[in-house]
Amino acid sequence: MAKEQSISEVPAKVSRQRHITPESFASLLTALGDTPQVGTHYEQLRSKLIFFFSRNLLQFPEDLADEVLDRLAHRLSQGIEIASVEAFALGIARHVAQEQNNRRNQPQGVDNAFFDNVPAHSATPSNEEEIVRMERCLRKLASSEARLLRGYYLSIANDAIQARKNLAKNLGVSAITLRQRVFLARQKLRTCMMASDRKKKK
Amino acid sequence: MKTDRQMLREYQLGTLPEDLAAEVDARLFADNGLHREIQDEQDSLIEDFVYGRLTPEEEAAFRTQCGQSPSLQEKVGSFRVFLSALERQSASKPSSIALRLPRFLFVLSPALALMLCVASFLYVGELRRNAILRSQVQSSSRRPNFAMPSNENKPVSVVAFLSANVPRGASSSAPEIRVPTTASVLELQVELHPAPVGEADWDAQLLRGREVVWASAHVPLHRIGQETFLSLAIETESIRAGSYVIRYSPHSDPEAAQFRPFHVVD
Repeated sequence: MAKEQSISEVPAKVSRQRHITPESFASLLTALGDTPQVGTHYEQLRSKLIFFFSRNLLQFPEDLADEVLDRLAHRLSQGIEIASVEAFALGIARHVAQEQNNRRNQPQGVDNAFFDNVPAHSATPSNEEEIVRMERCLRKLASSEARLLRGYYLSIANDAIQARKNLAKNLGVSAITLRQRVFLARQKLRTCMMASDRKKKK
Repeated sequence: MKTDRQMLREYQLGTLPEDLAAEVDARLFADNGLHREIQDEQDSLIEDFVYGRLTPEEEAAFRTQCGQSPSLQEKVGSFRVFLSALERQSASKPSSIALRLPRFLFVLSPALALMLCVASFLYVGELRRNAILRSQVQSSSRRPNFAMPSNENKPVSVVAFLSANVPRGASSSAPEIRVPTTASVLELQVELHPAPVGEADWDAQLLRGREVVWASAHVPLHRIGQETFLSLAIETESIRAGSYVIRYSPHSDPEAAQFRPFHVVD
């Protein structure tokens, strides 16, 4: 009950502008655990919020996720006691979604230019630099992982499902294990690309 | 009966009935395992979209989501980049033998490596001695060309110079190179301007569209007079008429790649 009350007190406006202060951000990090993995927890919570707003078919789910985190940080800096940060974040997210649904009469813009390249499965030449960086990250993977990704994504004939069943059989693992291995290898690539992004921006 | 994967897919597309979706919301925020499963299913969804494997309804829903979410667009773009890099790596697989060689040598026992070094040293010494003897024989002979080997079996090479200073208008195209049918090697000299300072070791690739048709690592830089260039010996059997791009970068910094387009004509 206390939670519901506190959520409804939050200003009902999505400003699209970050108004987080260093103090409130510090409160949020403390609530998320204040451990070396706190960055991961923060990104995980943000990702969950993006999934939530996406499934609600709301525009700019990333901005809405940030708005929830701002409000959450603000509430935490006011000293409110929260049993579960994630459950509280979901409460705020529902509230923000409700606000957005009330404004849905506005026309929704779809970036049509994005679909010019669909359904081409390869990147355009303008992505050359990114491809080069991705190649570097692929080279950093263990050779077994790079082979696994090639087998999983490139050896697709007409029947992708059957091709992957065969791959799992050849490797002596279940289809679920195969998917998990592929997922983990791609997570490594994502981490590598993010590090490369940061290096490039420096 | 829907599978969990199908349910997670519908959840992401916003087509799952609200009561079920609300249940997934609650589980998602309470369970990091489910978060990972949803991420995994999103990868699969993006892959199916890119390969055109979604049903019309799924595709329409996915397109709407992409239009509303910059981060989802970014993920789709990133997946295409990933596929391109994977295909390119797969296409240039022969060169990976060269990459594996140092690793192979590394795992050889130190004794065997030492033996190889000694054998190489003796072999090079023997070659030098032979060369000295041959030059002595040739200098004392009255017929200097008597012992010269025949050129019949030598590969015929043709040289093309890609200058860096040729001004090109917006309408003019890349330079054209005509490769004679008798040539077996195209020696492509790519001028670098301004001349790089301190970077003597370069990597180069010849691209036809996105396909890597030729690649070489550790290409030395040549300096003759004012000109600084890379000399690339490319087998003509891997070239046919069409548009190509030479991509080159310092070996120490592959991200600083530069590109030089040209056409091969019959």
